[in-house]
Amino acid sequence: MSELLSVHKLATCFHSRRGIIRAVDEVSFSIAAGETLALVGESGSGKSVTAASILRLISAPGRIEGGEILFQGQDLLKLGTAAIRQIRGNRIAMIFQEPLSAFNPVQSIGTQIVEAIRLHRKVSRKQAFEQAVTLLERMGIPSPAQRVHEFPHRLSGGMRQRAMIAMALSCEPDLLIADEPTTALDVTTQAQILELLKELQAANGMGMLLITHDLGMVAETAHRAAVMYAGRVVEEGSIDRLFTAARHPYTAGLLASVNIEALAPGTKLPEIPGSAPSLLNPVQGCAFAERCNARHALCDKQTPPLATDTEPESFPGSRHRVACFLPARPDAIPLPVESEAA
Amino acid sequence: MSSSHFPTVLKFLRRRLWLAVPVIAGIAILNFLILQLAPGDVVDVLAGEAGAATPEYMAQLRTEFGLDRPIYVQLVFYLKSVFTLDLGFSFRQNMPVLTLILDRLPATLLLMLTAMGIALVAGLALGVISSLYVHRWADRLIAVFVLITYALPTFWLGLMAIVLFSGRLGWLPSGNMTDISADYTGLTYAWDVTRHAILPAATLATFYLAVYAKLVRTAMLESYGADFIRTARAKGATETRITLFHALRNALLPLLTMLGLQVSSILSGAVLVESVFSWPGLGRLAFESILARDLNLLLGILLFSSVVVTLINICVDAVYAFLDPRIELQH
Amino acid sequence: MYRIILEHILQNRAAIAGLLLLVAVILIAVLGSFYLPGDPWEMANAPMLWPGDDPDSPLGTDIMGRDIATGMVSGAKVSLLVGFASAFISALVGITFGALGGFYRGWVDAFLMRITELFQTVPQFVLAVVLVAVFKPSVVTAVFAIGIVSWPPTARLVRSAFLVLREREFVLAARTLGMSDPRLILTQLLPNALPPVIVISALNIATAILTEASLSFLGLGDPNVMSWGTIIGNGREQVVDAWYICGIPGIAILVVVLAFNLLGEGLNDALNPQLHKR
Repeated sequence: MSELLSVHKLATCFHSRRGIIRAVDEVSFSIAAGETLALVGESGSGKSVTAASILRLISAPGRIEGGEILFQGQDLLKLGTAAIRQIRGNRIAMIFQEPLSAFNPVQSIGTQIVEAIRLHRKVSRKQAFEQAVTLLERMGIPSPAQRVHEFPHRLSGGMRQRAMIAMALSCEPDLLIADEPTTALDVTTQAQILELLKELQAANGMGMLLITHDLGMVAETAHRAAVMYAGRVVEEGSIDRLFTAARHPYTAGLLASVNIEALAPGTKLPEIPGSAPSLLNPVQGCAFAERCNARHALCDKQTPPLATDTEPESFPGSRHRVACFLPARPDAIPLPVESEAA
Repeated sequence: MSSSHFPTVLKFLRRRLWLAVPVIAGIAILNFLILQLAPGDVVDVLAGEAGAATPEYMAQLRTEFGLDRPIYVQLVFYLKSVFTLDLGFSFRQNMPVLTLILDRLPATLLLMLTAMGIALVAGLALGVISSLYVHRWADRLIAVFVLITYALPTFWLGLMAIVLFSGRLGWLPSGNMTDISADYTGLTYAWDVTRHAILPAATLATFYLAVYAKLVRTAMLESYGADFIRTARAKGATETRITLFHALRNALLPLLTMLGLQVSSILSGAVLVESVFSWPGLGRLAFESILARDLNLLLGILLFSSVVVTLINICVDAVYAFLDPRIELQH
Repeated sequence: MYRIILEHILQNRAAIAGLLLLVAVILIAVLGSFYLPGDPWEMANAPMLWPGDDPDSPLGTDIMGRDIATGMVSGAKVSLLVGFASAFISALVGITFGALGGFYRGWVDAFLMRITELFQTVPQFVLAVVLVAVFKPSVVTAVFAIGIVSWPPTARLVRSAFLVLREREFVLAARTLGMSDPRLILTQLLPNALPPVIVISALNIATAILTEASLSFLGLGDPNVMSWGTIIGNGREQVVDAWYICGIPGIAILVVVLAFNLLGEGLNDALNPQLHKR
């Protein structure tokens, strides 16, 4: 598979009066065309900042301080402002968590979709409007010819997110960044939007970066996932392998906290003790060490690099990377599927 | 879209006009109270200083007002005359008060609307510049200008403008609305009025301009942090486009709210500016009636200017509803 | 709590600048009465002397030969007196309306708010002009007229503070103790609603000084008391030839109003430290 997007050692910092916050540090991952990569992590782990960094939407006091973002072979961080604008909304589009505030409240959704089209395509206002109606229809919005004139506050949450997706897809992007696209929606609508995104991706063959903290959604939608903790990627691999044979203690803990069905009745819900560290004054060594039960003297001295994991050979062909000096042995983790088979 | 909007706007205007009736009645009652509390009886005040009206007429007025009757009957009489647009007679000017006021109203409206236009445009421009160069020298310079303008007495600013622009530089006329010696028509007349209007309108606008600049700066900075601005950036919009079509468009809403709150204050300012520049409007009329102690005329101006404020406020609300689709005109 | 506020004020550059300007004006008003005890209405020198022409009249004289420096001292006293007194009346009326409306809600609130709206619709300055004209111009009428036209914003502020405060635990606790309504309002709610009223009152002083000057400028000043607005009003006919007559008192008004605005802004920052941090 050829790489569509390849992020290499990205570093984004925020400069505040109290010091420098390293929100994203040495983050690397890649997405192939037609592939969905999920960026998973708790809030504050740096996943949204990573997404914003790709389109260079970081504004002061934030700054991208290092790394490269290769999109179709071109380093987005080296482009001029006019050139990056040509990419935004055109080759790479983005949808956001809260569709109500992400739409301009005083313009109709039609006007806003038309703007997205006409920023990148030389078409008349009338043609763009017709395109907007077609797009809304494809997104499953009923009576799109009327809805196109509605203002954002008049639509339901699900309809708004559909309209947001219509706007994002208006220029047929090669990459779609979806920043927690369903968090603000109710459960039924969440499933519908997810289904819609999957269908559209299959039809357009575009790559997708899905940012979420919902592991269920990851399992359902993504091909691969990168787990972020305290601004760094701690583990990355295919969904099959990550969900069944997580190597990083944090990933393992995260999974254990959701695999409730796998627990014997009466046992306490597992949780990861402690809380995420402050990014303001990063500790030396592994950021997770404080909360890790496999802590080791080396963990306090050095930051473990994200290295290709060679250990288990049970998943041939899938590259797996983990940032841990003492990765858990895959067989040490309770695996519902396999334990039943055994 | 706007054509289907139209009947709703009419309905909205009709409802708001009905709501204005109790406000106007309230102001009339306030006027009546002032008359009651004033030294001397109502007719003394209404007729102006002694000698202005004939004793026979004053006696007739006393019976007409029913001064021997209880106060609430007098109030009803007064309200009735107000709502039949009978604001009384000015003995000093020998004309009905309403005629005098309607005569002077267009000049005041011209001055007010021009000043509001200048204040809005210049305030928006300064506010946007301030927000684009936040904490840099242009922003600081505008902040100092705003601070000083807040403390400037309007009438004094007008006088100093006369000293500079009419006296020293001789660029613009110092008073009146037209050149009395010349008899212009058509375009030359319009140009003459414009030349005369520049100083008073700019003087009146200065304070509001500063208020709006400060407000627009805050609103723009707030807008820039909004999610929909990030969406616009993600779409690939240029910064100019984001500023004009997204941030500024939304910053107009608080600006309009402020404008609505200040209509009565702008009218107050017009009174002062008119008397500085001898602009023949309501303010000048008020000034003349102060000099002549023509209290009846003064009360008429107070009532009428409140009505003007109410009407302009209704217009501002209608424009607001037009600019902000989240406000529904019916409900 | 008030010591912390005081510390905040002393750390605030705007507030300090305002305080210094204010102290300077008060000093001028007090010391001036010692050095220039003359009657500001009396002809003291040759008319139309420019500032510096004659050391006896350092700020010059007007068309009637009245000493401008003496007039300025008198004007400083009038401005400060009218500013403080009318802001006090405005606060008193505003607090009463806002407190009653916010505390009792219902029809009391509705009624009081209608009156407040009424006073916001009437052009304030025109109403002040009418009141002063009807009740004969004097310092006292000016104070009352300005106080009466400027209370609505205070009333709204106090009302919204009371609406929030009346639901707070300490108020409910005092209520269950059987505290009477007036005592509840005065001892429990009002002290907590006061800080923003102090800020708005500082700004009200500034507006009151401007309004007083405007009234005197229109010839509605106290005929026995020389104020800055009166000097400007008297000098306006000669303004093009002798701009100093209008210019000097105008600058004085500017400085005093600026002082109170800075003070109000500084107080606002000091009383809202969370806003200040941003």
